[in-house]
Amino acid sequence: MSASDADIVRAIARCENQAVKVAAENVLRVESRKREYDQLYGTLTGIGLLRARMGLSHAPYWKGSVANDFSISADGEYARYAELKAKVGRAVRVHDTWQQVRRVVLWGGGVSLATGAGVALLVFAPDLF
Amino acid sequence: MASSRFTPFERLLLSSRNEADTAALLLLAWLAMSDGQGTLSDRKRTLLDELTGDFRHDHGYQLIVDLASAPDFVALQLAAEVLQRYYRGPRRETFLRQAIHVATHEGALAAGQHHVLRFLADLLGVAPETFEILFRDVAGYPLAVPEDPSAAHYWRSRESSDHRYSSQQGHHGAHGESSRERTGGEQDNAQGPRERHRRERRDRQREHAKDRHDETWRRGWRWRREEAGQREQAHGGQHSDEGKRHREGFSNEGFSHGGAYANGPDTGNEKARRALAVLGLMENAQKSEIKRAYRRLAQKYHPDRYHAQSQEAMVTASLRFQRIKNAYDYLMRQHA
Repeated sequence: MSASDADIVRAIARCENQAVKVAAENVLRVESRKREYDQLYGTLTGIGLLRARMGLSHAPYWKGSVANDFSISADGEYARYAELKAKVGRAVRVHDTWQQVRRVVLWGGGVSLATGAGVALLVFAPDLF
Repeated sequence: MASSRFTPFERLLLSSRNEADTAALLLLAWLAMSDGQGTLSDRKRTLLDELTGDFRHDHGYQLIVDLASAPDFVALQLAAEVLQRYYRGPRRETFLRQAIHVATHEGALAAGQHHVLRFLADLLGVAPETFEILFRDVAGYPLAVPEDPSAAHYWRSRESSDHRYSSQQGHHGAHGESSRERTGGEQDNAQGPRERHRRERRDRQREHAKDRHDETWRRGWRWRREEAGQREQAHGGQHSDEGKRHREGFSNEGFSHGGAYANGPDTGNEKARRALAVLGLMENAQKSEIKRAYRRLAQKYHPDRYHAQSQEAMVTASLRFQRIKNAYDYLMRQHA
């Protein structure tokens, strides 16, 4: 996310707004300041994303310059909780289906085994009948 | 739809005894780690442990810390949705109190924490007026406007105050306070209201004996959680009463950790004034007057009198009674 030093130097050189230029020099050319600034930038970007996805872009605490800088339009992402519920629903269906298959396989196996044993006895020990 | 595989946080939620508490823990950890330090200090980890001791969440702590430190915004969105879904009524307020305590535990709010706290308030639908009252109640100073680290003067004033602090208060370094704390507190040549707030904040922070505060706060915490649970059951019109109490500044919490602020004379006076107001008394009331007022109010608002009425009225009465009793106990300790 963070630009390289060379990119920052080039961007500052191109900047025509003196106030922005001075601020950028002061903040982005000092490593410790840039690190903290980047962290805050990441937090605000994340909050902007969360607010857009959760319909909180017009909430009372998201106004002014921060909101202008970090508000994004909703990206059509789904609700995570609904997705979790859908996944659980699918997992339950798979589990139920597997249980049914397992039951059929077990019954089928048991019946086949019994039939096989009966046939074997009939063939190899007809005296028993 | 995304992959149908469960993410680690989804698995954690599904295996949690209470998904809302797990979601709350993740959001609190995110708030704690939005302080610009990038790590969760032992002190903050201990605080989170203490605050969430009665959360019904007993595993996956490391995963929570990892998700909060990254931070994983997919997990945070899920946590926020769960919180929005399950935290309603007074429980929202309880959670926000926890959040404010986490954010202000180590001194002034960092810029990131300002924005995360405001996001949480908006998420839970708590109006700015109510949130500011909550903040003042928990932190002991007003919620300021977040500063702008993209401006050069922010860094200049911050670093000059750091320098002054280290030259003047070198012997305080043993307290292990972070530079951010020092920044929040040391603005001796303050010009604007923001700087004045910072200076006031520092003074208050020093006046408060932090450890005693934490210890007493912790003791009061379980009671508040239980109370929040009761209030949640009797939600409805109850919440408006709670909001009113906070607007009036007569919160239960203010007295539940009574002696915690005793070191700060201003805060102590303020608390005593609030306690007297709860009992309907003026300043300089005598001990006998306090006792008389308490007996009268306790009789009037005793929960047994509301037994025949609705559960909501009963809960409201017991809260009111508890507030009166806390105020009385506080004043009796002051007069002892």
